[in-house]
Amino acid sequence: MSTLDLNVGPQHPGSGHMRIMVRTDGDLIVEATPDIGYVHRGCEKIAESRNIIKNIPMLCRPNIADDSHLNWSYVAPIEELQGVEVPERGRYIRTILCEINRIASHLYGMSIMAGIFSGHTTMYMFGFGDRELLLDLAEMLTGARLTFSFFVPGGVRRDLPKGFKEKLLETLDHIERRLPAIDRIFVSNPVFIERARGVGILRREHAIRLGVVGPVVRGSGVRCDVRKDAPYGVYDNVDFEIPALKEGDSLSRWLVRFEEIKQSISILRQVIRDIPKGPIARKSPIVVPKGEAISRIESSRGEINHYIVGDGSDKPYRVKMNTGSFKNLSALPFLLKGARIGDMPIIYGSLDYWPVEADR
Amino acid sequence: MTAEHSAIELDIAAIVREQLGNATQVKVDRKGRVSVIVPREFARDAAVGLQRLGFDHAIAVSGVDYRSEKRIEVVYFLSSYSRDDLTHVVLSLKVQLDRENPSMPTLTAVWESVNFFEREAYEMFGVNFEGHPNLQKLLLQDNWDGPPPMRKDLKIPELA
Repeated sequence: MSTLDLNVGPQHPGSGHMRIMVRTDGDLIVEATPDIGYVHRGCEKIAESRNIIKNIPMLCRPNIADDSHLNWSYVAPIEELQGVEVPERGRYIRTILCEINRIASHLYGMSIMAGIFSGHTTMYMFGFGDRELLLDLAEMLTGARLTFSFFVPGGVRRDLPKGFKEKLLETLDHIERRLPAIDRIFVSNPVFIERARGVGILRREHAIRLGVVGPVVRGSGVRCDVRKDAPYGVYDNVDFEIPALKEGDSLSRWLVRFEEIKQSISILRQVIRDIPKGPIARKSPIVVPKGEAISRIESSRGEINHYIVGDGSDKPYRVKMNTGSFKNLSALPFLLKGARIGDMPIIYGSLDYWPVEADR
Repeated sequence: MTAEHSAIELDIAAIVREQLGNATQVKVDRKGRVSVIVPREFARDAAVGLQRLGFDHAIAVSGVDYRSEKRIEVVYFLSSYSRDDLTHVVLSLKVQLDRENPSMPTLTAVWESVNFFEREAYEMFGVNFEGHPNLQKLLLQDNWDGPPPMRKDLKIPELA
């Protein structure tokens, strides 16, 4: 058997800032080895020498499409160690920003997979166009389109601005009206279905063994979501479902994201209806008390955790970021082995892998 | 923490204590958080026991350099997809290692999901995971020849 070794990446379009070393036999992939770290910046090391507030912008940058979840996951263990409880209104506002972020991030991921990796430019335009409206909402609330740095230990930085509720409901109505169009052109499109169905199959038992998270594990029939399993924020007050599909192929991972957008719209409507009056933040000392804590937050790419060890100073003794993309990386060599070269972009795209989040 | 909420956590703690005996320290930290400290010799047995109990994947693995106490700690954070009553629990399995020569058996044979995490702990803290299938650098550049960068000895001059 004569095989040929190929390097895919590390230049950006197609693989992200990473390299996949692929050994091929004809157009079959014999072995695929991901080589990551091209955008490693030592966030965790830098974090040990900065005070906890200055760390917030840096530790959220690794995923600009999903800033608010990284932010929440970083401040939650600090609050736990400080014994500071976020006031109810603060938790509602956090949930609002996170669900806006989730829809925006899913539209992004779906557009990259269906738009860039399978060549349907229309989906790319659809997704990115609609996503812009959600970024407008986030900008109205936080002042930034992508890098919000909006959550601080104890609460959030600002209250909802005037007219936000109306704008939010208007945008949700618009997104909801757009979903049937996406459904008609892509979900029911035989060309896209043939391209993604049965490609990159991850069975339930393999998904559990590899420890993948988020839409990747839910696409393999594991109905898990930290928002339900270990509710935080106000998720135990809202009514929503966890979409899961048992097929485990690239199409089901894409469809899980599509269904999650609908759930997020429903969550946002409930939260904006029920949001109570009151303070948005509590005073929190700029110090990490002695001890350790780990957070669990359901980000757009799955469960993320920040493990923080404090020594009583204003700087964390240790911060460990565990991101969804890093956990989902273990599925990549598994899924690519035995696949065809032509299916590699679809499989990679279906993981919604964000290299910077994995490299930190 | 109410009694009802902590029931499963206390059960888990009791089972682990029974399985591993006096070598371990088991503690329920709060609702949904259980920690187990084991010496390196028992790490593998503890892992096998916990896996049988239903902790089927690792959600995180972290090294910590406790310089003044002369030890490196590797913490495996475990949770469950397959046992519904455990999905809210994070069990931290802490393995304490000698800082001069941190070495422990790999747990990749028990949990495949720790593979990349162990490689990261290897390059960042210099922990040798005996028997790891591919113990190579992951995030660092290939020509990095300094000390493991997450050790407290390494100071970054610009940040001092």
